[in-house]
Amino acid sequence: MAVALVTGGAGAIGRACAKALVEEGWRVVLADLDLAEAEIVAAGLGGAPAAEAVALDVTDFDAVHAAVDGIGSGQDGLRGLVCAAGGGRNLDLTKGPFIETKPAEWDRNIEVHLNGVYNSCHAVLPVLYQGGGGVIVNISSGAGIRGGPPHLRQRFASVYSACKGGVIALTQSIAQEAGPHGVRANCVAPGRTETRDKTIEEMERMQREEEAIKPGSGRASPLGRFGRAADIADAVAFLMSERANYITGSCLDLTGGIRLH
Amino acid sequence: MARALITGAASLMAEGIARALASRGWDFVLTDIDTAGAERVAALLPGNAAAEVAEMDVTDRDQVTAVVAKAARDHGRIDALVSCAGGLRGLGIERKPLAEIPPGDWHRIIDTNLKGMMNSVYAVLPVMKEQGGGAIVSIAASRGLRGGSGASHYSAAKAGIILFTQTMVLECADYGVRINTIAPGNADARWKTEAHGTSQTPLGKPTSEHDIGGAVAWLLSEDATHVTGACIDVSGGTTLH
Repeated sequence: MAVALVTGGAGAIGRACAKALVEEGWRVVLADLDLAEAEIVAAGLGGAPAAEAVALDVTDFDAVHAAVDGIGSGQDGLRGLVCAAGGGRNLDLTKGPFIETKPAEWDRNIEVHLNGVYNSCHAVLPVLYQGGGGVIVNISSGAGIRGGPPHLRQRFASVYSACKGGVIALTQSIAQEAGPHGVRANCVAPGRTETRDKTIEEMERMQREEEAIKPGSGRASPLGRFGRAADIADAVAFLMSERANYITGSCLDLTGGIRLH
Repeated sequence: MARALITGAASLMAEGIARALASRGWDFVLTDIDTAGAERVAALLPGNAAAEVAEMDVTDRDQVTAVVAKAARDHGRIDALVSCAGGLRGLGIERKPLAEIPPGDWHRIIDTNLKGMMNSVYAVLPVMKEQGGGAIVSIAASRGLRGGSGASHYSAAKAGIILFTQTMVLECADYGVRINTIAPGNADARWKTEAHGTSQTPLGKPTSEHDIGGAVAWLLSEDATHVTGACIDVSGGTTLH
C-alpha cells in the first residue's frame, strides 16, 4: 500500500487529512513536533501499518530528509505528501501592525510556513521520482490567494500571507517541473477553519466579538459557518486520489466563499 | 522636492525607474551593495536630479535601519520606497528544479527578494507614518503570479511580495501610505546577453527598463492616488503563456 507523509499530522487539519487518506486506502506517516499527540492520532487510526507517527520539525532540513529516507520508495513506499505543518501553535506572533513586530518573528514564520514546505518537497520529490510518480498537496490559505483581511484578525497577517502566497507559487513551479516525472502537485486554501487550539465554538465566540467592534466584519462565510478540518481533508483526499489525476498546479479555494467579501 | 529611496539601484531596472522619476522631478537615495554601479546610475540622471548613493545590503537589517535613518535625518522625509533589490540569475544563482535546489540557494533567494523587501518596508514605513504619507512600490515578477519551472524559490519569493503588499494595504492606509507591486516578466537585465535567449513576449520584445520605469512613475504620481494593493503586470503578456 502506498504511503503518504502528513506533516503537522497532530494538528486539526493534518489529522483529518490522515483519517481521510486511511479511509481511501493509503498508509500514513504522521509527522509532528508533538510526537505524543501524533502517536495518539495514529493509534486512533488503527496504528501500524495503517498509521504511524514520527517526531519531526519541518524547519530542520536534515531531519526532514532523514525521516523521508526512512520511508522508502516504490509501490509500497512513499507516494504522497501533505504539507499541513504550520498555524499559530508554537509561533507566538505579535498581533499588531507590521512595524511593531520583531524581525525574528518573521524569520520564524517564514521558516515554518515557507521554508518548511521547501524542506519537505525537496526531500520527498526525489523519492517520488525514483518510485515512478506520486502526488503532493500543500496546505496554503485563503490569505495566500488574496492578501487583506476577510476578517479583522487577519488584518496584520502580512508575513503569513506572504508565506502562503509563496507556497502556491512554489507548488505551481513543482507542477511544471514534476509533471513529466508523473508527479502532481496542488494546493488547498482553507479559510477560517478549526484548529487544535480553536474549536468552532471558540471561533463563533470570536465572531460575536468582531461583530461588536465592526458590524459585518465577523462573518464566517457566505455559507454561514466556519470551516471544519474534515472539509479540508475531503478536498485533500480527492486531490491525492486517482480521481484527480489530471489536476496539477491548482489551488482549491476552501474558504466557504469568504474570500469573496 | 520629493525623494525616493531605491534598493538594488545599480540594476538596469532601477536605472529605468530612476530615469523615469528624474524626468518627473524626483530626487534620490540610491542604495545597493554595488555602490560603483549605483554611482554609474546616478551619473546618468539629469543634472537637476539630486542623487546620493549609499551602500546597503537589504539582507543586513542593521545596515538597512542605519541607511534609512540617515536618509530621513538628512532630508527630513522619504516620499517613496522602490524595492528593487533581488533577482535570481542576477544574484549568480542558476535555475534548478526544486528537488535539486541546495538549501543555500533557497535561503539566499528568499532572504534577498522577500525578506529584503520586508526589511526595507519595516525601516521606511515608520518614517512615512511620522511624516503623514508616502508610497511604496515593490518589484515582484510574472513568476510570482504563476510559478515557473526551475524557479520555485524565486516564484515563491515574488508571490510573497505580492501577498505581503496586499495584506499591508490597511495598515499603510492608516499612515497615509499607498503600497503596490509591479510584475515584470522576461525583463532585460545587465547580465543578460543574446545567449540567454530572451524568449519573446506576446508583444514581440522583452520588457525594458523603460517599461518598468514608466509604470513605477505612474504608481508614484498624482494620477494614482487611489491605487493601493495593486499588482501591475508589466510583462508584455508573458504572464499569460
